[in-house]
Amino acid sequence: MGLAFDLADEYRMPVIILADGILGQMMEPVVLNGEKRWPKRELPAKDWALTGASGRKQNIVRSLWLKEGVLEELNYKLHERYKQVEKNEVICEQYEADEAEIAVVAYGVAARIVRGAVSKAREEGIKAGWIRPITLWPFPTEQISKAAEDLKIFLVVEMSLGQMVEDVKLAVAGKAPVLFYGRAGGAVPTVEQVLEKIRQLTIPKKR
Amino acid sequence: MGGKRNDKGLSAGPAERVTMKANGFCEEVIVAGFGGQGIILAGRLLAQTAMRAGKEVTYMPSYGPEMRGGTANSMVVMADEPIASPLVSKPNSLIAMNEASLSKFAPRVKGGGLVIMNSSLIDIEPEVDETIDVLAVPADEIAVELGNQKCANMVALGAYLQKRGLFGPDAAAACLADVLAARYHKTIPMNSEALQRGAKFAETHS
Amino acid sequence: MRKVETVFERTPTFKDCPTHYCPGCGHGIAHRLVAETVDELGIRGRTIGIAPVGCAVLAYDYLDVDMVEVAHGRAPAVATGMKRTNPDKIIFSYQGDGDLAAIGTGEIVHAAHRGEQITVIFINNAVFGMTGGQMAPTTVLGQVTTTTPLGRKAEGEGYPLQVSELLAVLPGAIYIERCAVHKPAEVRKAKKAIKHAFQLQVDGAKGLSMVEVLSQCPTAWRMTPAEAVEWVEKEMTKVFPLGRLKG
Repeated sequence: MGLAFDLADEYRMPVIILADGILGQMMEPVVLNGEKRWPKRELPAKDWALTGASGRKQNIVRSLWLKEGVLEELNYKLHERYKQVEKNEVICEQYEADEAEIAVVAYGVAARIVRGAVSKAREEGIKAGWIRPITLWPFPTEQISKAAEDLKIFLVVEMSLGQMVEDVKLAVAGKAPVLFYGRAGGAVPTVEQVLEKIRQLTIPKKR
Repeated sequence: MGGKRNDKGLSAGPAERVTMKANGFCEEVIVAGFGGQGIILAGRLLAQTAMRAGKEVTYMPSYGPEMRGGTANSMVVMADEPIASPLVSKPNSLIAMNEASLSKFAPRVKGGGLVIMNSSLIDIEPEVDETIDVLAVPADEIAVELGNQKCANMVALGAYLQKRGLFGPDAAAACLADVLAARYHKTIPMNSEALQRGAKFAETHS
Repeated sequence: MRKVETVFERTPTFKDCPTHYCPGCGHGIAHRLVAETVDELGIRGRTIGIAPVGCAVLAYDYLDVDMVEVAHGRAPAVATGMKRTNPDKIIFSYQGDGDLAAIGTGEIVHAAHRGEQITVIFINNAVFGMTGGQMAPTTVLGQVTTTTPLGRKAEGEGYPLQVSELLAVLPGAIYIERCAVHKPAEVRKAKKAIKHAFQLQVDGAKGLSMVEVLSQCPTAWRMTPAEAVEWVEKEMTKVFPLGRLKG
């Protein structure tokens, strides 16, 4: 959470924290060591802030630029900022993903369920791993693309009818099949259901 | 921008690798009943007790919009290793405070599991196989004897704790102050007594 | 030789630059009154303004104070955040009727209802001016606009929304006055009202102050500036009577 504020501050860009009903309802012990995992960043000076123009020129926070060329120049500058974020701020966790045949990709509480299903699958001798994008934008395209070199099949699990599956397909870029399992609002997939989907996967022979 | 990157392994390099240990002890519990029977509180107290005992634990409530009536259940998972899913589809143990909950959840209890049923409000037998240990506890009657029917949840929880032997009723009683709002702290002695009576009942009726 | 004396000059907070407003528009006068107020109260260094969506989005091109441009109608919400986090600053929003009385009705009503300690300058020209003169909630009955070519009818299009009257009944609104800028006497009254509204905030008065300014829009009204002045006097003030409604 602290990281979200720091990123928003550093890049002057809104950071949206995606929540779900389970995150809102459940409880579990939490160790607050955010500072250790996400060390405090050096935040830029806020010389643009509206503090009252005492002894200086006025500051204006605006998005309207009518003079010819100015808006386009700004858009290139903002685009460069997006590129920086994509380069520097991807956060993604993975488990055995590069030594497995199957990678299950999930975020949010679906990722917790997938964790349970993958460990049960491994107990059954199925070579499965998981990939959990913590940032959905910037998306861990590079990590998934790299994992796809060795993995034989991907299963995307979401609490939706498929919002991330296309991102995974773009990252995998045809190197392996990408399948999907999701439940629409009102139902949450269970560990057993995801496990069953993993069992049903037919591992293709690669190249 | 141009801010220093001070965290390792999170940028466009390889994804952070997570290690998972083999599954050790894991107890999954569903507490279920009417809204107003203290279902959510019983679940929270169990979760809190497990946390204080150093276990990994998750707690997930589910209830309707009504404060009274309707159905309520809480799911508690306790384990030695970090818990993946907080949702319980097949519990090891069920505490059913009314008939509807027993009918709904008893068939889902894992073989070798435990069912604590509130016989004050339940006239039926659960649909479970013979490997499952079923204990009928007249929780409401015991609670009324103690002076308040509302502590039937604690009686049932006490019986569960005694049967499972994970933590004693004292350990749970010590956590009451954590989960009860300050204005209800005056009920702690009665709730503690209810936990004890539930445990005692289980001890003498097994 | 006779001694030359300066009797009137541009106030420093009113920037020296060409205007983008149409000939006969009331915004320029209202801007000047705000700038004079800021200078007379000596609050330029701690004043933060909020520009609306509409013709006055460029208010920061004329008013030399810190300013922010916000989403359509949301100025009172942004002002709320600014004032609550910076109670020593003087926060004002400058909004048109398309902004304040249409898409932003919820924001102004609730800011007043919560008694936010902000000052609102509400410019009412009875149309959406920037987009070419469409009907606004404030358009008077019978008024021809591009979207009411036969004149606004109550049936189907509703009645002109009297925001000042609406806010005046709320305990959180401490000062509400309606003024105009179509003739010098009214301009002077408007100045007094705007200054009073700012003064209340400077004094830490507990509540929202708003000055509604009836402003002529010859372009969208399809009139000459002289006809527009006449129309404010004859038609607009019938629906939007001038004077202090509260405080």
